[in-house]
Amino acid sequence: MIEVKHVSGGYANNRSMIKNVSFKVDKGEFFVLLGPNGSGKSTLLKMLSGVLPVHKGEIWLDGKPLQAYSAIDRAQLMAVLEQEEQIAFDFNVEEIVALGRYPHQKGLFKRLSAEDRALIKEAMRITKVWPYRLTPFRQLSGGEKQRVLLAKALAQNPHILLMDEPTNHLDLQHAYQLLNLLKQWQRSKALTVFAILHDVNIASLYADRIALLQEGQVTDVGDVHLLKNEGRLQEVYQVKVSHHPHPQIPKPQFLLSPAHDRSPSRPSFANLYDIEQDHSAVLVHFQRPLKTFSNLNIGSGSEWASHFFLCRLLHTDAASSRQAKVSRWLAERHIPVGQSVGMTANYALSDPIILEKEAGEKAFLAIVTLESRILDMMTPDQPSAAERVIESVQTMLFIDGHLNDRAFVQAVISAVEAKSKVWHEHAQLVSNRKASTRKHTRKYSPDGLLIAATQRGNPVTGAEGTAVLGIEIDQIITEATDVAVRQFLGLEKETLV
Amino acid sequence: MAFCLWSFLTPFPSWNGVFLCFWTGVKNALISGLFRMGWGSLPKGSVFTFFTSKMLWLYVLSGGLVFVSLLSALFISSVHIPVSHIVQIMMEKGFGWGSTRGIEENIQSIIWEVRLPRVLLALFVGAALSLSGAAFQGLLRNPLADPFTIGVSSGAALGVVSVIFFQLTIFGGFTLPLFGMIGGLVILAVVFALTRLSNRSMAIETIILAGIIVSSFVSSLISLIVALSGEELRQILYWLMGSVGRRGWEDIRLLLPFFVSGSLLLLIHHRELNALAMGDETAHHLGVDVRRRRMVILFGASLLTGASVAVSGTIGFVGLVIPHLVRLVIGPNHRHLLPLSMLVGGAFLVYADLAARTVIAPQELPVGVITAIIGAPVFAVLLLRKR
Repeated sequence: MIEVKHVSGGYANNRSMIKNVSFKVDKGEFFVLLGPNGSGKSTLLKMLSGVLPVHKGEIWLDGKPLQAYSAIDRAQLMAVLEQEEQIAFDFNVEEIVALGRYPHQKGLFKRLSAEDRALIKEAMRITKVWPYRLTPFRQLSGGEKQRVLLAKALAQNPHILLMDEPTNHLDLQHAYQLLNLLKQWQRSKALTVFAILHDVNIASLYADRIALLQEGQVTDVGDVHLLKNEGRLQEVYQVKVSHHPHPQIPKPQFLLSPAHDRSPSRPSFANLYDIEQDHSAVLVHFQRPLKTFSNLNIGSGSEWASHFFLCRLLHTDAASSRQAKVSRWLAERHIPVGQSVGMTANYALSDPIILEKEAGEKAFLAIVTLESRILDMMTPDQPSAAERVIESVQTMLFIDGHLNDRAFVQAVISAVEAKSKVWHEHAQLVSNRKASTRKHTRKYSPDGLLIAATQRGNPVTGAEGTAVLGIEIDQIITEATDVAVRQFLGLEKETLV
Repeated sequence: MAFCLWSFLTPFPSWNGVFLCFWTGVKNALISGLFRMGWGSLPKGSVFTFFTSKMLWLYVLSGGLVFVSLLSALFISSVHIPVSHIVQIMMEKGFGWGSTRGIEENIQSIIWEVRLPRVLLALFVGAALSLSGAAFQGLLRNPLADPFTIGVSSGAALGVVSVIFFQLTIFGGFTLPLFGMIGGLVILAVVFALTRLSNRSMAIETIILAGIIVSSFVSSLISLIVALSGEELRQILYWLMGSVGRRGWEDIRLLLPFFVSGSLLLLIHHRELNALAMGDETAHHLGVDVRRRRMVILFGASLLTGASVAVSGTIGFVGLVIPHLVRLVIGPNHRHLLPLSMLVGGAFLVYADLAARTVIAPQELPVGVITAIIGAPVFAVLLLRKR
């Protein structure tokens, strides 16, 4: 639909802002042009709309060169939604939207036909500006103005819509409403959209394809996933960018890391936290948030948190939900819910085993506790035996180090392997001595695991670094779990293998 | 507003009861339009109906205003002529209906040869100046623009002043208006050329700037001629202040082609003027050939301005205030703004001319003085209200 062939051009003084740019936009495509300020995005868009001259190369629209179109024919094919415009005089909304029919009006007197009016109405309805169609444009808010201008562009009934940062003055709600609307219109009417967006994340969500413009040259064209090349983004925008999958749809999202967060002072790991314990809970408070990855039932998944807890909530208030109970419990301790990750157990928790360890640059803190309950074993041979059964093992591992996603996964694997290893050893032991003990190792609830990292110091990189990390984790988790299970079973250290 | 002031200013010695009723209605409608319903928030027409009932009423009102202004201007004078005679003469001379038997020849001549051309000229000049003012304001996206902004009227004035000063008689009686017309168009061409040379896209800022440069240059030339003139001084000054007095049918014949073509040119461009008010780029995106349409509109507005100045001198404020007034009442849509400005502006100048020749009768005031006396305070009020 739009073909740009080796185009150079820009402002009139022979200095070409755009240098030898080529790309193609297919019919019905949502194409987004990305690039830093001053890269020539608006210049390129103005060349497409015929406002600025093309010095070299050709622009083809719908199989015809741009300059072969008359002004009217071009406007029938293509509409432009600009950033908020300065409109002279107090035109009302309806009069502005009606201008969208300008290129389609025929006859000597150029009256609005019934079809014109229907399209104006539709455009105003779909952009939800109909309720204030008689309001002067100047009295509208920025978001309403933008919707009115969109209505004008849609009333033009174009096949191609060019947009220069259409969401600039809009809040989150209106920006998404506008883009959803466009996406819908694009799909239902096979509209070709060519947009400049400054927000890489919005571009990723809405664009079918993107082009990266850098210093007047298109450096990359293609699917949004090409942006996952963080080096390219960093080169173009001159900032450190990390990509991240969108939680719901298969599109990448991009995150900036501000420079100010790196504090120069570096207290030792042991000084970063306090541990608080009472009969039913263990709480760890960190001075600064840690990046966590866990399956604990409060704040699971990937998070940043400063407060970590394992607790048993008593069933004093059966009506309220687990979440409400936890919130109340945390509020009593003046801990913000949003910065906490933890687990609430249904049954009693054993005394937590707390182990600290330093290994080179890194330091570790492991906390392991067992959830257990009394089980009535109504078996024929032992009719009234009440046995204590381990429900689950809850593990929290805090690491003073900088872990990437790969290292996090490695940490999970190592911790789980270590715990399973200990578990199976003891299970063997317990089953051998079954007759003499009244305690069992049967698990009914899922184990909990939390990995939290301070994200300071040198990042863990490469397979080797990850492997070393894995070995450290294996050691500390093995030890902590071992002590916890032995304590539960009432075993002496010597009896262990 | 202007008309309300006007009704207090002018004594109407033998005002016909019917007229009075109509006049009161018009006045009340305008007063209610401006005051009761609030400035600028008035019956803005919907695009879905050509005439809202309010818009229709405003057209009827303006048309009525024109009609009443014509009749009253024909009627009121130092020489008393009954309305019935005036109507009879008009019917007979204009349409060949009825007869003028029983009416003295000199009465017929006063009405047909003296008063009617003068009144019609005032109507056409007022309409032309208001229409071109509305077009200039819309085109230059500047509510303070008027037919004088880009120097066309100065050019026309220079042409006329040169004719008086050098006592040129190349084209006989037509020399004066023709030179005026030519002067105006030459200045338009100069402004175009200056604009094109400095900025190929004909940006409005450049047009305004070029216009101001050219018009101040031309004004200084006029001042130079005034300074050098001897016995022609009074004639030049009187002409510069603007007047529609002592004009005949030949002036109307001269004005009419320019008036008709210029008006048509502007009236058919109401959609382009609306689009251009959105800004050049938006107009371009809507399919307006911005450069060409702008030149055509400027040409049309300059035809009207140049022709008006050529026949009646520089009558100020009509082109500035009337479009403003109309815009306040009906909104900025040029589809209605242009024709209504014509009607209201024409009627206004007819009344202003009536005042000019009756306030200190038998002497006459230049009509340009009256329009400025009424126009300046009105404009000041508008500015204050806008703030």
